Amino acid sequence: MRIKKVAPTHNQDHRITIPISLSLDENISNFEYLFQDCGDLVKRKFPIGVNKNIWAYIAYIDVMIDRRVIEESILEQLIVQVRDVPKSIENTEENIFEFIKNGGIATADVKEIEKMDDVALAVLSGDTVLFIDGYDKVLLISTKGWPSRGITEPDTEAVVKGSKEGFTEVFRFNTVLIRRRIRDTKLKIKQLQVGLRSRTDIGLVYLEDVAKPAIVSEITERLNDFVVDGVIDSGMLEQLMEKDWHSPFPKIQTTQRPDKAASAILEGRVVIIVDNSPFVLLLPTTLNAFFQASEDYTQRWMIMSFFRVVRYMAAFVAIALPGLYIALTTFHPSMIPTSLIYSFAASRQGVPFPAVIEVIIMELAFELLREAGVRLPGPIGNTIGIVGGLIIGQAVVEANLVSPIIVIIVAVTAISSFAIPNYSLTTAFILMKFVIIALSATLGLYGFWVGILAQLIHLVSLKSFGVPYLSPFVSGEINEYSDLKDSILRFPTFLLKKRPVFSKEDNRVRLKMKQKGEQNVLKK
Amino acid sequence: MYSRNDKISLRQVEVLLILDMFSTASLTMPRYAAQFVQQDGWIIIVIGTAIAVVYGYLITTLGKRFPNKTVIEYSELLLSKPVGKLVGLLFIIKFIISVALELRIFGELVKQTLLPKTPIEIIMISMLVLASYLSRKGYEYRGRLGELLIIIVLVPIIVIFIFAFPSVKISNLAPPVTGKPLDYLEGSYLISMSYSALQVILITIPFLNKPKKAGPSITRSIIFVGVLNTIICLITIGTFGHKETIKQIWPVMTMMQVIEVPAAIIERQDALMMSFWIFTVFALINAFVYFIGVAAHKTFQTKDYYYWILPALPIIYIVALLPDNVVETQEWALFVAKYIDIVFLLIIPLVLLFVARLRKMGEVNDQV
Repeated sequence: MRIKKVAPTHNQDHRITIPISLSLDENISNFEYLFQDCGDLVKRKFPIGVNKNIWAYIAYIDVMIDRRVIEESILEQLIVQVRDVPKSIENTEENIFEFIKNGGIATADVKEIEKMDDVALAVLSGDTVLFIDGYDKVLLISTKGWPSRGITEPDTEAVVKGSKEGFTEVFRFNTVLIRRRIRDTKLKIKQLQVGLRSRTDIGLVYLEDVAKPAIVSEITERLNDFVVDGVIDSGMLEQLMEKDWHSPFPKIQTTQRPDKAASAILEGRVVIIVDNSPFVLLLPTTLNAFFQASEDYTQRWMIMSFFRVVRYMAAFVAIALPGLYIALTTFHPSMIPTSLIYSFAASRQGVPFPAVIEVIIMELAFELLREAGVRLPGPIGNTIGIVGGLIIGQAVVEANLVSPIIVIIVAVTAISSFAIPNYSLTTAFILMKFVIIALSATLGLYGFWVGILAQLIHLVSLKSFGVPYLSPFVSGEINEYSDLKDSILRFPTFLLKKRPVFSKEDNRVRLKMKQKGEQNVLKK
Repeated sequence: MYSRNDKISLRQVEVLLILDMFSTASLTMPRYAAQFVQQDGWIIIVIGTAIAVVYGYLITTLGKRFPNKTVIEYSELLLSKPVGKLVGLLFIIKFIISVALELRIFGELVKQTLLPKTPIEIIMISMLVLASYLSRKGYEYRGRLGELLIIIVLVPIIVIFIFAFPSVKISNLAPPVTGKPLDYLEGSYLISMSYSALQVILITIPFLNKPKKAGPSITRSIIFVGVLNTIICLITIGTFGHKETIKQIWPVMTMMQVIEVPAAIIERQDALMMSFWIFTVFALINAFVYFIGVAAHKTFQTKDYYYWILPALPIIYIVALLPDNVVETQEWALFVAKYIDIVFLLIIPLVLLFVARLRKMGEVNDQV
């Protein structure tokens, strides 16, 4: 059956419907029809053995494959080496396909496939396919090997002490980075594909006996909730899977660090790796999880507890400081101690705008600087920082457009908002800050508290895959308050004996202290 | 997966109850206490709290017999349908009046301490909208927010109290027990009514995850608020003396202005105190708005409770604007406390408990 040009080759799910036939020539013409005008396809028809009566057809995408594997393990084997096989064996005739599969190809990763759709997908994913005359099956030989960036240090979550490896764009590298950290057969890597056209590989990585099955099935369910043409990055998948579209807070944590992903898996969370994205998704998540940096666990607990407190305070400052300043100076100057209000007043001398306008001008100017600098190459970004931050900041104060105290407040707020270890949370807080500024400017301290209250109401109503977002600060009793040990303070490691709320109820113990003399270390 | 939107834990109900009972009533309590028994105000607060524990016990004993039903549903069961509907209506009206008065007092207080130039309407409407925003989300979210608010509210207030102790003069509190016994009794009765938020327990029971074990939690929260109130009263009367305390509309606020917190960067503690009070008042208004919805939902058997919240808001708002000024509002509140709260705290539970015993209805607890 040769496919006419008018006949549809794809069904409504964008899957190829052409069957594989017994005739090699027909298969070749169908295959080449599918790959018409795909200039990166490399193909060759060649005979196998001395008699040259068995023909085969090999195809792959150029540079996506490992050339050495194809040349040494396939072509050399089938064209040259096979000639040395005694004739009696070569001409068994009954099953050449099995012969080639088992004896002809010198690589472990060989599969039989029977659908043209799988054939096309395999070729497009960097594998090699081998058609053999007389069989309606195709041999798939794994030959993936494309140029990649290599494993580098993550640029978003750098640490002083701890692993320097970061995830890359290659799916398989990322699974390896996790697998190397957890050598357990219970560590499952469930592979799926999302995207009608992009056919992006997605891996759900979790510990089978620690992660809640309900969460895993909920994730699979949500992945089935949509049909999209392509998933370009994990950030896109993150938003497709979320339910609260009206919330600025991220309900899924992203990380570039394999050690963070591995420890999340040990906590019973599910990690989603998306091909072509160096950011993996960790879910479910809580607000508290965003404040945990991976260095917290490699450094001593007292120091890191102190920094946790600093981070939480920074979060409050990032949201509240400009609003509080506006509320206190414009509505309740009597609340500020006299000496302080004098210095405020002195710095505001001659400034033509009310405090709220000043704050908004400077905040917007800062956001502008950030936005301009973030996408520029390094050296130019520095220039923007110097011109914008130093020169304009200085000039604006000297021109009496903005009081120096506002510059201080905006700068402190900005620094605070970047002390939060997660960028998406930082951006959520930046948005919240403007809400508080607006309310404080209209209703003073009362408006300030109304704004805080409204945000708290919003936060308590959020859930990430069934886990309360503010846990363990609320609903702590679902894990007997043990999660509080790793929240505002980071307790000593030997006290963190239980897994957090994400894990299965019956598998929460993660640390047992053994008595002296007991065998504790696995010997090789 | 973990919890639905309508079941809350005992700890959450305890926390919510503390927030509900520890609201604007506590701000004026030293004045009423001093009016009755002068320097012995704290004694009647202790007795009043003890009486409130009895109300709490009564309500939970009744609730335990019907762990899956609200008061409206089981009074229908016990005393025929029309009576049940009447009880439901009474609760709705009572809640509307309570929340309206609370809202008005709150508005006046915020206006006085924080926003003298802002129309009171804006303060009241914004608070009402915020409260109904949370009410529509369900009981579980209220419980979770309560867990956060209790920390935000109590920690600073207790810190401020520690600094208030040095200004207390023991001479202002001596000699103890000089008044007439009847005054003590009347005062204690009135004080016990400041715990009127207890009546929401009549409707809360079916929302608890362990309704049969509600008793100790509720007693604990009453005693906790009682201790706080006693301390506030001791400090206020101890600082001003009873004569001065009676003259103040907001004696606790005035007391806060006097306190000096060393090394504080805030000059006026009363404004700071007010900010924390916003949270407790919010909790109380939110509780009443929520229970108006639930009571109406149970009385008229509608599909869900939150349909009732939006239509209730204008009614609450209008009732809140009925009194002419803050003094009249407080008089209304006093009237409600003196003659109406008792119906919901004592009479209705007693009658229902009596009928339930008589008709042997409901689940009987092993311990009883």
